[in-house]
Amino acid sequence: MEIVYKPLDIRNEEQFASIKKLIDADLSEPYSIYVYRYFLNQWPELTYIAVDVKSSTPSAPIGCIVCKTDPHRNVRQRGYIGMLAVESTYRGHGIAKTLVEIAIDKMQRAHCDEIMLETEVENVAALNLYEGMGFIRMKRMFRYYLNEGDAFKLILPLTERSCTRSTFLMHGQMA
Amino acid sequence: MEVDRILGSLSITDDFDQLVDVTCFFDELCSKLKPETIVKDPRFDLFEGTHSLEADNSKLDSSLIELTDEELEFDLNVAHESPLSSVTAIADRLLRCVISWLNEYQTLPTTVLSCRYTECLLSSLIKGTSSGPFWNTGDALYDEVLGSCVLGVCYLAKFVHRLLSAGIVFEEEDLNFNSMRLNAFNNLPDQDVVIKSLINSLQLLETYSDESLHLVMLKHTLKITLCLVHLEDHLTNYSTETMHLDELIENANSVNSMLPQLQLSPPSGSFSTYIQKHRSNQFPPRQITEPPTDYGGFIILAEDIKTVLLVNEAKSALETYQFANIFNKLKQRHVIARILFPLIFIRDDRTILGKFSFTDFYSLHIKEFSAQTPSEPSSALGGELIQESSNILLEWYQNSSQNTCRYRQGFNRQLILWDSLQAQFESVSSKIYCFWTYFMKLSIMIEFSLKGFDLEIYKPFEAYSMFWYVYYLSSHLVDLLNECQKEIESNISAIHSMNKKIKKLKAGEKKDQLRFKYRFAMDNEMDQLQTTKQFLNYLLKEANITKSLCLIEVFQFGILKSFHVIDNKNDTPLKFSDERLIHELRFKPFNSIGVPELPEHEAFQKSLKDFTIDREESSFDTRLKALSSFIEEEVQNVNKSIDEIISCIKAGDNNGVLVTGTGLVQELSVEYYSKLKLTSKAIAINSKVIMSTLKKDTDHKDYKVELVHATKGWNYYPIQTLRVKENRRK
Repeated sequence: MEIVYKPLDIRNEEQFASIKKLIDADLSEPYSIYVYRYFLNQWPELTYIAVDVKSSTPSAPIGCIVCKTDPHRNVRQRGYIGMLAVESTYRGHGIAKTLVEIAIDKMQRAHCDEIMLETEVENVAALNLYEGMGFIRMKRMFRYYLNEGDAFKLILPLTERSCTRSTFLMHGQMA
Repeated sequence: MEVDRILGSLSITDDFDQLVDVTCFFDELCSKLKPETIVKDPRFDLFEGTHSLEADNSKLDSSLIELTDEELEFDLNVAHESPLSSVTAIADRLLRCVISWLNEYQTLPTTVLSCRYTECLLSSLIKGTSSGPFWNTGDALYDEVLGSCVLGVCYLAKFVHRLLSAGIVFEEEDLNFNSMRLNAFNNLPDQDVVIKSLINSLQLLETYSDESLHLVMLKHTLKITLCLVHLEDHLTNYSTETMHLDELIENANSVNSMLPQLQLSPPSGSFSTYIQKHRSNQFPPRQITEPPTDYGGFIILAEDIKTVLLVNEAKSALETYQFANIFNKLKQRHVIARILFPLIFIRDDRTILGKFSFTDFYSLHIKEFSAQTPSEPSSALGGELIQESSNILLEWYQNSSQNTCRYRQGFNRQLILWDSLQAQFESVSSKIYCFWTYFMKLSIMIEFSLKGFDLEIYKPFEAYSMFWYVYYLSSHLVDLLNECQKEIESNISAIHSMNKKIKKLKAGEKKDQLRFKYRFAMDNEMDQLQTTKQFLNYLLKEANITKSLCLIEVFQFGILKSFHVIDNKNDTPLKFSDERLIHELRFKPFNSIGVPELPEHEAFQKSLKDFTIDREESSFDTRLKALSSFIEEEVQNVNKSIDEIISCIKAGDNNGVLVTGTGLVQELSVEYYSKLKLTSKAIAINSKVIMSTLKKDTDHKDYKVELVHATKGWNYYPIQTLRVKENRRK
């Protein structure tokens, strides 16, 4: 096994289909094609894939992370991790962690003030992964997912702006 | 099938010469599209996307649902074999679907609307049929009895829709009302017609000589439906009558005892995903819900509404305040009860419980907290400020009935509002308003912080900061309450000193005037002063309990840190953030609060150092022992205070020392304090376990700390439990 991480090639339709298949198999939420297009077409530079170059399908993604970044209430730049999946046979090798680190590094360089994501309360593996990187649980959301589970909203602060209420950042801007 | 029929009947023209082939236009436009282009309405964002459907995707396209032959061929105009048992089974399952929908937060299409008879009835209403029969089998059990039951359930759904429209709870989160565009609820007949139909059915069943359990069961289902139709009375007429709720409980209990002896099986196809495939469906396909096996959900519904109705008996602001504090706190109440509470409490005629205007109700809080009749703050701002304050107070009341997660979020918003109010009152120098507003703000800050433990928001390493901060807040609360108490004491003394002065004065006008003033104060002010004094005594006990429990938690963290089992920061090095930023993000809700000012990160660090003992210190064991004794002593004090409060609650606030204002929620309050006491005991036991384990075992690197809720305890104070790390177990 030799894992190589690379950015998405938005013009590669096969890659797009593989990413969709990989995530569809893993996530509790059924996403429409639109959701994938929404992320991948608008922020192709924030989607990374992991491939096993030593496998029989060296160009097929065995892991991927899908992110976006946009202004939150016009006062801070928020990076958002929308999807993260690693094929079950490749789990336990730190692939997800590396994908998250690559994506956060990219979003930090793109001047994000914080990184946000939601995850199921029951998803201990995801919580351990993100919390180990400094994410903290900001709030719990009642019956957030279609499978009826609660979710936590997790945030990783990258700058001071993440630590001030939006209302007061707005006032600061007006002043 | 209906869609296929309609599509099949579409015919534009038979003359193909008139048709224009537009394919080339599409091809041309598509050829100019870049792969990254998304063709969409500009308003279509991620939220829309996550709710969008996708043709030919089995997870997102309900037209791909595969129905069985029984489902496809199900005929509502045919009475199935053994009509009594099949109608009973349909009515039973429909009612259990109601429980699934309302108690278990399932969707309408997978529960009530999965019943083909419900769909048929609503379709008939759309077509203009407002009275039955809605299907015609020729069998009265189907056409009349089942018809009235389904009609009753639809009437309940109409009421639920009315409740949802009030905007108290969140659709999808607390309640689903996806009616599959069968918007026929407003075409339902009036309540009296629905009731009459159910009573007629019951009378019809009386004529049956059959003595089977099915018949008894069917009568119960009709009686239960009748009770459900009456639920709207609590809102329409603000009825406090509980007869129908008691009947609901009684019938549900009877059904529960009968169900194990009955074999109920609704006809195949009578409950189905048919509606999702067949009707306009904006949601992904979902399996129909397997409803609960008993009627316990109706008992919960009735009991919770009965609890909410108790608020009508409130005689003081103390009682409404305590009611709102506790009625939804120990367990999340049934969604109908949670919506009803604010609607019954804050009425359409802009009164509270039909008794007080909003501002009078607000003033009542100030009066009962300060034992002074409030006058408007002396400023042009006064009126507006009182209005704003009363609105914020009502928002606080509304927040009390939110689901457990929204409850904390509501406080996150509330604490800035109360902070702003306090600052405004300070600017117009209004002491009694300031005191009460500050009290509310501190209480909300404490509640918001501790609720995070219940919702498992904090990691073990954050426990120190959170508990130390709440300790800091509760110290401020104790100081504030002591100050309020001093004011009350001084007012009481002033009245008593009048009497002494009267005795010293010679007879005359001056003495008569003072005697009159004294009499007036004794008749009109003393009672309230004594009540307030005793209420403040209670609040002080409560605040001291919070303070002590937080201090104990802080000490425990200090002990664990002394053994290097935990620290107040992430145990792995951080690549993208740092300890200070994470701390500041956690305390973001408080960083704008003026008073009490949020301590700097350094202050948290320094305090932890003070609570930690250096293992190299020669006095390590002695200090550890002293800490242990201190924790034991604090726990004893907490338990003693809790016992005093419990006995006062049980005595109905008549012990002359404490007034708790819990008269309406006596049982719940006793339960709450009993849980708190259990937790305090569990924390004390944990202290001993921690010390003995860590003293015995020298390799502390193998341990980690988990926050564990004590069984039957109060989750605001988790037990900082030692666990052996996974790798050591292996």
